[in-house]
Amino acid sequence: MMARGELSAAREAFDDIVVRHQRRASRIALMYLRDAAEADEAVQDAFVRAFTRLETYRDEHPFEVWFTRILVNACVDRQRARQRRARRLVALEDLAFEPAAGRSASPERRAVGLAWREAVNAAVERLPARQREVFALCHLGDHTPRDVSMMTGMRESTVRVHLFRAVHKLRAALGAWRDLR
Amino acid sequence: MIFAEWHPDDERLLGHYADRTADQTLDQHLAWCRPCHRRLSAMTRDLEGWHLAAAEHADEAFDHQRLAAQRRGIQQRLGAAVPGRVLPFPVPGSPERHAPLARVAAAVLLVALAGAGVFRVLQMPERVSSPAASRGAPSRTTAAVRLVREGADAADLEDIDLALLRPRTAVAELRALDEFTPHVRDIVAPRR
Repeated sequence: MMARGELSAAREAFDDIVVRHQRRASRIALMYLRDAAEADEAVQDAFVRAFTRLETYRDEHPFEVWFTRILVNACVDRQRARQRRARRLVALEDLAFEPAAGRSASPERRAVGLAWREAVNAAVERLPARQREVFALCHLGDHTPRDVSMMTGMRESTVRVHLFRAVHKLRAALGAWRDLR
Repeated sequence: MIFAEWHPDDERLLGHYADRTADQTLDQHLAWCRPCHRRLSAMTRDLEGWHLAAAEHADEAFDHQRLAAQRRGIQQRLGAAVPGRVLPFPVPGSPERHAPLARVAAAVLLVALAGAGVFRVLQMPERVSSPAASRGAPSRTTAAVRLVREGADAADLEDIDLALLRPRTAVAELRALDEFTPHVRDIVAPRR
């Protein structure tokens, strides 16, 4: 057991890690779970798990990779729990989605921007689960296919195939937007 | 020219983008093949656009306030997740050591005060009874006897009812019960 001082110091140090990784983690979790509240919970679960298992971390992999694996597991757990509850998924359109106040872009430009984002999110949402997972980790998480392979347990070649298929589908679905943006 | 007939497919270009590592063969090809370079640029533009759209969306859902709340939630859960609270070991002569004694003394005083209050309340009922009590109403004992007797009468009546309901009640039993019952003839006869 840690002494009180050590524990407090460990928590403070861990808070810096949280600050550094929470935004990226939240993006991944949101794309994974498609629900901001669920994503929030999954991120918290992941950080708490990471803290309580810090002694199992080996620095042969970057912390990000180790942590993202925990995050993915937390998302999977949430997803399973959600499926068990058979709760209806919250569509992205239902999320709080107001553009930031004071943005300098014109109303038309903002409207196009919003529509574009909705189109992207809808297209991503239509991807099969594995493709979406790989896409989120590679693309939003900024991880290489090799890292994603370590995070998910998939073979690297499988990750590449999923990523390629996802990108191919997205390009087909969003091709019409190229000239509008 | 070397590689003149070869052009990378989209998968190779995507791998190049995703791996973020140098691919010497591909880099050499892209350096002179304008169409492939344009293909990679178009793919990169799409990918960056999606990244931006998804990131903006996520960042709006997770604004600074939400992230701060998330951090607070994590800290709270970390506090709860670590088992066991570490209690300070008492140091002889430290002020903390006297704190329990003060608490015990206060508790004893409270119990004494509460006891005195209860004693006084127990003495009160005789003085604060109802007006009927002061007008010579039956005592507590008399009332109890009355209640017991009423209960006994009710029990006798119940016994009779049961005897009547019983299928094999003998006439003799009923007669015995009848002996205890006042009869109309005993009241009417003296008037004649």
